[in-house]
Amino acid sequence: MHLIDRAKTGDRQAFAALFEQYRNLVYKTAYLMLDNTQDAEDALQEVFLQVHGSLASFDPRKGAFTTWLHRITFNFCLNHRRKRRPLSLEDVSIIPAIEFPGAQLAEQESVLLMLRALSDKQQAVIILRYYWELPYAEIAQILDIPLGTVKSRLDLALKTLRKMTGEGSDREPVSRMEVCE
Amino acid sequence: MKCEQVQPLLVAYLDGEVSPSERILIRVHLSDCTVCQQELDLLFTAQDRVRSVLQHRTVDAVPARDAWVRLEKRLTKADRPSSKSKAWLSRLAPNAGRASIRKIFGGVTMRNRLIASALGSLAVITIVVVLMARSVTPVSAKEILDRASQVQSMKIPTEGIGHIRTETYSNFQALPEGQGTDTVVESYLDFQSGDFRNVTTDNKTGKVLDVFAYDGTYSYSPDYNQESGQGGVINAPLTIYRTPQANASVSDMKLRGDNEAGSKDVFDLMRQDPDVRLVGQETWVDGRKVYVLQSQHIKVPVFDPAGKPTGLVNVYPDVNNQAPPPITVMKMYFDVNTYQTVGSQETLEQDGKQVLIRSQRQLVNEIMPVASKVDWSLGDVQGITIVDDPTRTHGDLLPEVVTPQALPTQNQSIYLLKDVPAGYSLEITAPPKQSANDPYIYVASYRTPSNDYFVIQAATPVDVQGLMGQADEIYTTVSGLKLYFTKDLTSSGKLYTSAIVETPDGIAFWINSTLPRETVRAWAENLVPAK
Repeated sequence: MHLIDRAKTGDRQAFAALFEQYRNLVYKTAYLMLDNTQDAEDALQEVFLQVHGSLASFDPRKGAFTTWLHRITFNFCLNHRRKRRPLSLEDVSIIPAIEFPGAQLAEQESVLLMLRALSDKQQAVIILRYYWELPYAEIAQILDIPLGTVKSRLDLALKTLRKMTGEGSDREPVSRMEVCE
Repeated sequence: MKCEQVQPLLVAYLDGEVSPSERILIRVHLSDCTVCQQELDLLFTAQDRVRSVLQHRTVDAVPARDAWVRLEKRLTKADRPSSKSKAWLSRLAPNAGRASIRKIFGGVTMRNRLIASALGSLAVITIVVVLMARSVTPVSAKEILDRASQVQSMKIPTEGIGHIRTETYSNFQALPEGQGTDTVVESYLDFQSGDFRNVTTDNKTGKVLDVFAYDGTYSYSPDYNQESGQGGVINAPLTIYRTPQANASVSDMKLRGDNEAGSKDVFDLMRQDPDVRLVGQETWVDGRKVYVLQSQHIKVPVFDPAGKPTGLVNVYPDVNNQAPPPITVMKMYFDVNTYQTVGSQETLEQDGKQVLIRSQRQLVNEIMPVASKVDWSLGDVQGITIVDDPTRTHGDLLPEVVTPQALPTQNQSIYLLKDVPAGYSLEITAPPKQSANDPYIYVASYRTPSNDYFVIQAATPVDVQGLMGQADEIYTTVSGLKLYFTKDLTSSGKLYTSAIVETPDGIAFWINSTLPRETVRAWAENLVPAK
């Protein structure tokens, strides 16, 4: 019997195995979206509680388990962020600097700061595409948005980042208004 | 292609997400346009940097070692039937999944619902004569359903004692024939006083599995924290707690319509099915003739926290899905003279055979004279031990009326409309003595004298994710509440709107209303936590 089917019947060991297998998926997404370990730990707990409560309704015919899990994780993170004050470029300066080795430091830091200044929704598509390397169709399914919206969000997000980091281009500050859709 | 056409496609081009024809056109354009080439290079670099930063950022991001230990503690707590409230809610929709939880609707008070679900079809007896007088042999399934619906919407009598005995077979695990749960529920209701008793017994062994009764002074029920739902300790007599509950404090006893027979969810699905058909006539268990209607639906099981299937919910076909969906064949039986629903049956095809999933048969349905003797205090019920519960710590109590001021202030899970709409009055009912650690269970019912309503009802730990596929509209309020509207129901010419609402904090509750969807959307903008 498949692990998920076993977990569905209330098999705690199977659920533990499921947790072991997918905890990094949830944790890493939460860490990227929420930016600190404490919130990521909380997200891991809450997401798996929700998975446990909802597993019965998971229907493999409607999509892969990971798609479903990503969806729960992103819903949680987006809700969590919504409750926090929106981040603006002005806030970026107060976030503790991330340690990057040597020469990479400036570039990595700068990209990270720019990523953080993107809207929540843009960050979500960026993470799903360039961290998890998922196809657009699956991203659309996870975020419950049309395929065209995935394309336009990625396009806008990438162009914003390109504008901010691109060599030979202007490095003018980008306002929140421009970054958000 | 021109630059302004190509540039919006460059990111998707790099990601391999353009169509083959777009790819060719972009390539042709790039071979001849240095501006777009440069843009492509910059986007490629940006992607590369983003990937690198994200990877670098998560190199050391790993969950704490004790993550599973902490989660398991919480899972164990969540699995426990931790409060009476849960038992109370589960009573409202016995053997039912989410689909019927929705049908606690109507804002019929919880107590009424309980009574009505057991005794709903009693009402029909009073109007049999009327219908018989204009009885014409129906020619279609639709006509039978319309008449049955008309019968169901009739008012419940004001005096006498309703008596119904229903046999229910449940086999949501689709086990081979005869291995499901076979129970009989015997219900009495005094229409005038509201006293009632429901006794559920195992049809095979005669063992009492569940009791819920009210005699005007005491409520009678098992302790659901100890007995873990129906059944409790095998072979031991069921302990029933007699808990004082003053008649004046329980919520309004007056039945207000929307009464439902036990198989109302099946009935509603049939009414929504354009392909429902009249199979023919059969002889019922008591010798009368019944019409048999048949309808097919795609259904999936729902499970309780322990993973046991507790019901079936209707799902809508997924057009992208290649696998054959689970088809449930439903049959409903209607008295050819009265159009009363007397039973229903659901079967699921498995390995080429039809397996019985659920059946309900009404064996008795009568109104006894006012003076009939029924022991509301359960003195005549064998196989139970009645224990006094003077401190109200064990018994499952009937809901009581609560004022908005008396709602628990720290509980974030209660939502109400900001103001009571003009022409409406608000009544909140909730089970007493709820645990402060659990989401508060309540029904807030806004009603007009003509019985239009807008009802907010706490949901059981509902899975909003699961409902996403079933919602035909998702509406988000300015405050971030997400309303998942389920398909509107029409019954007796009246429209019913239903939605499950998810708050930004992950709390879920139902809204059921006779108002049209656009009004429900507008009112939802005024939903606020009741602090």
